[in-house]
Amino acid sequence: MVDQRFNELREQLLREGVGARHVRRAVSEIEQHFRQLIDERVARGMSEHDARIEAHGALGTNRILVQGYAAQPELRTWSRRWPAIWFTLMPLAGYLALSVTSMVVLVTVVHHMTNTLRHVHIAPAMSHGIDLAARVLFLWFFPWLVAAVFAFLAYRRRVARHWPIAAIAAVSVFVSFLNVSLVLTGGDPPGQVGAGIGVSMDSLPAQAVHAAILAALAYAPLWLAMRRVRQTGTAAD
Amino acid sequence: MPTKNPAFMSGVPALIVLRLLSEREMYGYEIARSIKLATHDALSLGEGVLYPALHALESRGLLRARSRRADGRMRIYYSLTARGKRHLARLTEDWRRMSRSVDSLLGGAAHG
Repeated sequence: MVDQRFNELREQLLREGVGARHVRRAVSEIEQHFRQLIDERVARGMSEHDARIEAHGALGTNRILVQGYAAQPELRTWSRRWPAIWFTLMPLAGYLALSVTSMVVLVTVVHHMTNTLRHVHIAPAMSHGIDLAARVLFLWFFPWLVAAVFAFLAYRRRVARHWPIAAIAAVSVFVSFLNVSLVLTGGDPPGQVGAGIGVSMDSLPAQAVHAAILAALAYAPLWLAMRRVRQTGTAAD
Repeated sequence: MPTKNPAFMSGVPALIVLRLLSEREMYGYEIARSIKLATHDALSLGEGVLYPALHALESRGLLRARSRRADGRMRIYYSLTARGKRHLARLTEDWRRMSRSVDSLLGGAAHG
């Protein structure tokens, strides 16, 4: 039987910023320790019930156990030691890395297909479709993916909610200022790939809407996960 | 070179754990029991100190951990690494030096 205090201990350690790998090990080892404390007492003739009560006392409170882990900086996650860097700079860096890598791959593929593309006719509608797909990929899907992944990591590590929100806001606002275009046409020259960053007063409302929709989409999985936890908690109560 | 002002009290759990594990590999409960036995119950490392210390020492590369099934239970056994052995030698030297200094101070105070 899994004792409820070990589920609570797992949650408290995660909230304290102890790395998930260390939390799993800690709970498993402390639980094993607890069972041995019970066995030792039962072997001395104590009843299972009394042994369990005494073992809880011998183990000490969860607060003391958690304090011991919190005092070891090497057991805390990097994201909990420097949350501002992790949840503002890292998502932006992640988005840029993903976008630049994809762009390089795209340019390389187009470059290798130059000879083929010279002999291919790409209809304007198709060309427009490719451009639209690139915009969706770079200005919606990639930022959503990066922001949602960081929000999920924050949730798993029980980081305070304002940090994943900061990550989502940073990525959404940054991306709303970007322009991406992929013009792929047949003939000679066969096409071009381009990206740009720009701000203009005319497009500010549209950029704000873009940022808001992207932020809402990235926040949705986190919100659903937290809602589920709240409902589970309420049901358990 | 010995450290000038070792944080000897905060290093005591590490010293005890490394010393015990220098003899043979052990798991957490066994270490806790061995400390009590070896010190005739004078010293006891609570679980809130022992396990974080074990995990921190492993993170620093001073201990090695491996899972092993024993008596029908999966246990994590710890043993010293080469780096752990060097660290133990350093901690032991620091402790002895500090202990001699305190003894000398107490002896001096008693005769003074």
